[in-house]
Amino acid sequence: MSTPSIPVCAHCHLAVLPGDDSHTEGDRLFCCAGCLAARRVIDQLGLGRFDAMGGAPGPVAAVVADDADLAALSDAVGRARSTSALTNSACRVTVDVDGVSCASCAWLVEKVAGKSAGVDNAVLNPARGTLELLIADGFDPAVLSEALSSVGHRVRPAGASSVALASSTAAADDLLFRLGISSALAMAAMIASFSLFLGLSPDDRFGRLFQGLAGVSSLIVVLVGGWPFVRGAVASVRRGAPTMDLPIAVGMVAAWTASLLASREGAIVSFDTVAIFVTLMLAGRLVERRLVLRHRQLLTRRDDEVAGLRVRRIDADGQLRFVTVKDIGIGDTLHLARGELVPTDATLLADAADRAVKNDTNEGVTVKSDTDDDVAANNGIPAAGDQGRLLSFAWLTGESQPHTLLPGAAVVAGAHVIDPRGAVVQATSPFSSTRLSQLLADRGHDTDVDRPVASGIFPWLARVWVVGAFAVAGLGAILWWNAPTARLLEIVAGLLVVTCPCAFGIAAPLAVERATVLLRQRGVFVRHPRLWWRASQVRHAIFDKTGTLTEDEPVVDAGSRAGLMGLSARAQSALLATVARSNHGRSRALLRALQSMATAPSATTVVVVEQAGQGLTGAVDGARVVVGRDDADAGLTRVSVTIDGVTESASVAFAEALRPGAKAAIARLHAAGIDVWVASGDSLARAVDLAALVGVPADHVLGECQPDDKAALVHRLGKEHVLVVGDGVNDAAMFAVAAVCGVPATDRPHLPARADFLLLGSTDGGAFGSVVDVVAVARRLHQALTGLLVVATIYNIAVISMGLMGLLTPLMVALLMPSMSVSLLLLAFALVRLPKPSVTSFPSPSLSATTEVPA
Amino acid sequence: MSALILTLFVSGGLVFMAIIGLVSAFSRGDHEHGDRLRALPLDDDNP
Repeated sequence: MSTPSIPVCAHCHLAVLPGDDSHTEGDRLFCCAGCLAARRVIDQLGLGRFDAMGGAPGPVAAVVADDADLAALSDAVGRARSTSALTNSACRVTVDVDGVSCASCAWLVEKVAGKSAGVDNAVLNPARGTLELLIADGFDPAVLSEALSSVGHRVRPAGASSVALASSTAAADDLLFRLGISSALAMAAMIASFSLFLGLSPDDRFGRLFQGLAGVSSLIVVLVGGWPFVRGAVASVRRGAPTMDLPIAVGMVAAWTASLLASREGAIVSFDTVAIFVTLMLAGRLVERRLVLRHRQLLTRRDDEVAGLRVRRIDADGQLRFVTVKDIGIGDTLHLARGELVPTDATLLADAADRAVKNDTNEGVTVKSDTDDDVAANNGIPAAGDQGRLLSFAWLTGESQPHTLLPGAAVVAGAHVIDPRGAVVQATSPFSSTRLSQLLADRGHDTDVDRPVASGIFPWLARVWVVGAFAVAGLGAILWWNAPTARLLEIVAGLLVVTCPCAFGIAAPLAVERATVLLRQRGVFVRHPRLWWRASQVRHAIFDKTGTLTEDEPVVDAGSRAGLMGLSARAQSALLATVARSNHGRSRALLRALQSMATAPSATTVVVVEQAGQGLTGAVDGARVVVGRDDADAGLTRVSVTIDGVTESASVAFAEALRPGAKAAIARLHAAGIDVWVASGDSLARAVDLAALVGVPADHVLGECQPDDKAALVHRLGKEHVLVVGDGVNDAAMFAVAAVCGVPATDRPHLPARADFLLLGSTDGGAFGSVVDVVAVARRLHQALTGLLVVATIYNIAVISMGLMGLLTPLMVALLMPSMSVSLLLLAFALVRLPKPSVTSFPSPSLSATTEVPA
Repeated sequence: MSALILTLFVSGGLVFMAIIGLVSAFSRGDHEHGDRLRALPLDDDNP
């Protein structure tokens, strides 16, 4: 079982398209100009030890701009061109460039973009990842995108990750435009009505003029500013789930009509109040839209996820092509780089790169010296050419140890290639029939994403409110039936205006916005607004272990550090020189441990050979270093250093490194009365040990969990009360059923697409400790909205009573309505705040137990 | 700056319209509204 021989790049080891020899130097072949340039610099400056230190950081991931990005880019270019034509200035376009992580990326991106057709100048801002282009006539975004893709960078429209986002931005811009018109005309209506409130007779010449002006202005406000509400109300009625748009739309149309009828009868009317009401509602809606927009930015690309990934397929004709995961068929040969996901179930093949290692001067991880090969031979170091490949199943199973697989071995979809040489696999199933695909299957349509405050009790409230408002207006009409028609209509119009739901039109979206900002200050990004309705109900939290409570890489166990310290200084130095040349997780852990002991490398001649799964063998200035599995205990690593015939050795145990803040996070959850569980795919013993470190008792730990076991635990605890935090695809089943899901921000971007919140800043531990704040802030928000509802109800009862008694004059309505809205807004800000980290200030879970469970 | 101008413009409009309303009410003999004018030093005849 083997593949056609694929030449690999002499610098980054990425496969080079057969027949593409446009970047060569001597007998060395490079995949791109960047690699060729980098290799020249290395050679010219005599930096041959670059290879000894592990070589280039491996191939860049496959990047191809998709059609949506290109369409948005073309739009942006079109807009820039028309702007420059209007202002008669140079045409500038700013685009986002992904993956700019170092000075050499920045240099390469600027050079490649600068040489692209139609680009006069290109300036990269590496901090923001934006590229500012000065463009001429021949510029084509597709050409630029192609050029930058070829060196591993993806081009996107600036500040927007997809077309969907652009359309949301347009919707918010449309609201802003409507708000501008409405505000101006509402003020005009208010000014025109003011003389009438203060004594000008509606029958007076000027009175009629001013009343007419107010009527026309407010009609335009209702038509322009009220349209989004009418549209929303119609859509919601069609869906059979009325939202708050319905009472708002019905209220404003009814109030304007009643005002018109009243004005015909010569009464002082509420045109200006209707206009101000619509404007305030529109302002609230704009805030809500902005909120949605921010969620959208975090929600982008949720649909394609893994299925939209592109991988390199080696076709029958020997050509290498990028294909999307869903296009992979049985029998396809895939070339995967280090760090890439195995997208379908597959068989590992003997890799052409191995032959390259043997035949070429460009070694894979098998590192040879900057001196000469004889040193290796003289020291009895085995020849290179090991066929095994290192794969990690951590994301899939939660198992913390990587595995070495030999050619012919089956690889399940969802494994990550961590071998620096990459891997070549042959697909044995299409993506759609893999377990990975099932685990990642969509959780269903999230229709509430567009309406942060439209969930929970609001559909019910909307229905009640419409009926209530009309009942109150009808009651007023019955009570004042015998009054003059003008007076009767004045009362009915006033009642319709005061019963409109201002509180929730403005204060509720602002309260949600404030809660979102508060959590962001604690390093928690809210991705999905459903979080707010679900997190307040949380009573249990389940944590995944590997990669969630722990860091991805192990550390040397405290007890073993003493063993390492017992080695002689020379042995320590030789060991450090050896492990520094390996990227294996355990080698890096040993390196960190030795560095923390202030061991200094002093070697000048180093030869290291790493065999996947076997360990490292090194020759360092005459010392022979062997790092490998301990024969007595497979869980340990044996290090031995032989100097002048004397062998010193130590057994090293590794422990998983606890993520900073994990312990604090769990302590705070316990303090808040939340029951914490640990569910891991790793062995029960390891899971229990780690749980003990963070203070979770053994009876709350599940080990060797299959994805369905985790989902079953969620069901057992009551899924609407469960918050889960995980990062692996083995958590996907649990994510699909739990009320609230969070992920620590990691470099594996597949699961975050279905999380409700992301925990950032895991290095300082700040964000991880804030898991409890998600629940706390959600409960605060729930309380605040309930408080607003209570205040609004009391206010409504008071003003409705006054209205029914005929005490509500149009001037009072005009003043009461906006001042009430502003008061509720301030109240919302006062109520939604971060709880102090102390136990006593935390709101009791029982408070939320009585609130309604969201549908 | 534009916010300040807008505020001045709107409040100027409101004051102007308030005066029109009150003067109209007072001249009609509408004392419920017009009496508010007594608080302003507009009417020298009624100390």
